[in-house]
Amino acid sequence: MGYNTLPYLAVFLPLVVIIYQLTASRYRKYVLLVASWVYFYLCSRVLVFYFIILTVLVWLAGMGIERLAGRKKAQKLLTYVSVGGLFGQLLYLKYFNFFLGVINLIMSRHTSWTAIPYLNILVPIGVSYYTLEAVGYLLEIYWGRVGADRSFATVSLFLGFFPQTMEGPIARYQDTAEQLKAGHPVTEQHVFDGITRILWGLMKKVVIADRLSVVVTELFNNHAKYDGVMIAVAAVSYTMQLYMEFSGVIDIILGSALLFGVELPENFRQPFFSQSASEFWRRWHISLGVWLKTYVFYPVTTSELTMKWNRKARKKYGKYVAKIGTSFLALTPVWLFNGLWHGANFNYIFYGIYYLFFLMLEVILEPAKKKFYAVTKADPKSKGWTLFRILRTWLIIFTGELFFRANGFTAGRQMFASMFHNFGLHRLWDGTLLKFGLDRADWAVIAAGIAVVFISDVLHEKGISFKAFLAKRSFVVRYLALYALIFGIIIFGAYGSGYQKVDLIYAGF
Amino acid sequence: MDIRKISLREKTGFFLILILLLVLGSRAALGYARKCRDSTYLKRNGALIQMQEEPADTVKVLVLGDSLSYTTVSPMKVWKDLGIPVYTAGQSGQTMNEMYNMLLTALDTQHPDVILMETHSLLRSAKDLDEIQNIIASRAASVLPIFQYHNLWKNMLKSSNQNVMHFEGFTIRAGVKAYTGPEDYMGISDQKADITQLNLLLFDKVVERCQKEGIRVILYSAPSPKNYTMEKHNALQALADKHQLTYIDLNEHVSDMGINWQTDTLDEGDHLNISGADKTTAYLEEHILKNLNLPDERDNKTYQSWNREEMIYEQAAGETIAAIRYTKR
Repeated sequence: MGYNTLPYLAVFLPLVVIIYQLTASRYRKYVLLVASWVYFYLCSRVLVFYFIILTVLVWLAGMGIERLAGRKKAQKLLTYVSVGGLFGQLLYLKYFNFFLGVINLIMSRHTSWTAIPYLNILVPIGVSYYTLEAVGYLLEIYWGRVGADRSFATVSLFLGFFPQTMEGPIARYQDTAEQLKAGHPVTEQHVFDGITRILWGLMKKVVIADRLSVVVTELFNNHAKYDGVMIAVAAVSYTMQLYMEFSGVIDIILGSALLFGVELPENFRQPFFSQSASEFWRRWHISLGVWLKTYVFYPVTTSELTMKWNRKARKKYGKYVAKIGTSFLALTPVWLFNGLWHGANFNYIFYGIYYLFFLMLEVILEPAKKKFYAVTKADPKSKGWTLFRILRTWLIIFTGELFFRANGFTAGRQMFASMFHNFGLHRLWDGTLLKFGLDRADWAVIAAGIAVVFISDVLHEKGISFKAFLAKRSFVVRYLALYALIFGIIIFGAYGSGYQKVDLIYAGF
Repeated sequence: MDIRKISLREKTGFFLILILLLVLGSRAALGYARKCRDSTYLKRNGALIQMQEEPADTVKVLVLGDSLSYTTVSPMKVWKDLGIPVYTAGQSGQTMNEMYNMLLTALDTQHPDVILMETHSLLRSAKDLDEIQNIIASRAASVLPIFQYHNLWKNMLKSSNQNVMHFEGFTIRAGVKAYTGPEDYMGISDQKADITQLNLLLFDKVVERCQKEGIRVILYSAPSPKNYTMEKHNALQALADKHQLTYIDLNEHVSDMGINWQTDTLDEGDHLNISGADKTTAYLEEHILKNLNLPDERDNKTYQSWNREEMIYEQAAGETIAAIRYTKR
């Protein structure tokens, strides 16, 4: 039951809101908990029991880690075992068959080798998201930043709050737990803000992303038929689809949570205004970036091994080389993890290494960059240079997404190579774009939709939220904006006869 | 926007205007859909529009089902042979929910004596939640057709319409792509295929509604090696027996009908072309339609347009069937 579907938006969500509001505030968290388990059941059937057992273990482990605070070794052991166990189950569920495939591939060179058959593993919905939340929760207790929650209901709700189950955002315990158990009443303001946010997200998903899905599916699934500019179109279209879809669904998620007075962390901050690859990852899938920074990057950077290496390298090779080495030591696990987290495929691993390369390049070229600006006396903050850096980052993003979406790493490589053959820019206007299942009207809707989102992003970038912008206008303007949003979705939405249902992309990770 | 600062009058006004716009938009969309009849954007909704456009109280036998229904029964052939007004209200990929919806739409204006139900919709198994989504969507669309015909704005931008000629819901399909699989594709089995609970529930609703209206329901399965097996036959036979309905599985009578899988299929045994449909229609006439004791309406003035339609059909279908059957491949 995706967040953009009618059963969720027209039945499940309103029903939960009504029951929640009719319940006394001290019991409201139980309403959310039961609703979350029901939601889990509707998506993954009996695997809800797997989730419940896992949350029981996390809840017990949290209390155990806290209780062992005075016995450092035992506490460390329990934390390592618990975190290891959580990653172990994730590895088994998502990566077992992948590694089996790798073993079979390597061993297939030996003629006597009989391939090990793949296991039929049922993967519960959202396992990649709540595993990271659970690991974060246990580490926060271990570091003494939060106390273990005595309430099983709160822990289970924190890990499985239904609007977050499928696509995150990956929250930290201190971000949401208090709000979830507070049992805030449903207010008129929350309903209005929540519904507006949901509508905005639906517009991005149904009008733009689902339309782009038609051309993306054709170009990536039949990539051998295309080359040159058409591959570039594939990369740009997929990047736009992914942004509109993922940020749109996150809008629906945040809007849903807001109905219950819960403010979930934002996951996007105008990523296409980024001036470097590292900035892009501070603006795109923010909650994953924050998780990786907090629970992988910092622990590795401050680990004894890294510190020791840094001290030695500084003495032997100087500050610059030591910085490069330390960055490499800390960033490598982050980006390998990032790549693998998206799934068990070589193109995801490549995707992680790809960004590691650009981030390392940023570190390596930092002094040269400073020197360049000093020598040329160019103003790095000028509009021209800013635009240059933004466009350069776009190239990095589009190319990365080409490999990310390709049907395997080999296909990604082939697509990338074929982009430089027979480029043929004229194919953008000679009617070729109309052969993929979208007509002129569809392309016009996509362009208009992206323009609307772009304007909203510009406003946000300037610190003006669309909500605040509307608030200053007369009620006629506000009504017209809302009607435009509602009828924009109804009339221009890519749903119904003639369109394929498009599943949520990030629910698959 | 601080919602508390907005007066109750303004809030009420917002919803009233919204409802008014939805209703007006729906009327405009439906009106335009009936006028344009363009298959490019109407797609599966075209069958609904055509059904609604059929003159009231003219259809005596209504055929329901997915694409296997409208590729097996030719109403114009039945009209020519028996004078029974048959209408094929099949939709590509019609689900049981859509079948029920089509029945309700038809019953708004028609009072058929018989429903001839092609059974493949019963065997479609979408995920429960997808099916629930379809049910909610179709209910919303029946109240506010703007959801169903929202895409027609694209048609307004076009200079010409693309209308496919149809004969009481039937289209002449001339393509040939031979089926080369085993002739005895039904095989032997005691097993029964699964029919989902949701499909059974919706089937019950269709049957109940028909019983309430005094309509006889007859089940039939179109000949299709791609879609039917003995396990499916067994499940459908058991369902028909349970409801005491007549069921005829044409997959068991392929040789009696004279189906030639080299020439009579459109797409390798998935659907029949006009040549195959002509044969299945003849078989259904002989074994089902003749025995219904429905009056011959060919001399009835109400059906004069059917006689004219039949003449056009006769020529177009005759030439196409001859080309299919007598072309060397």
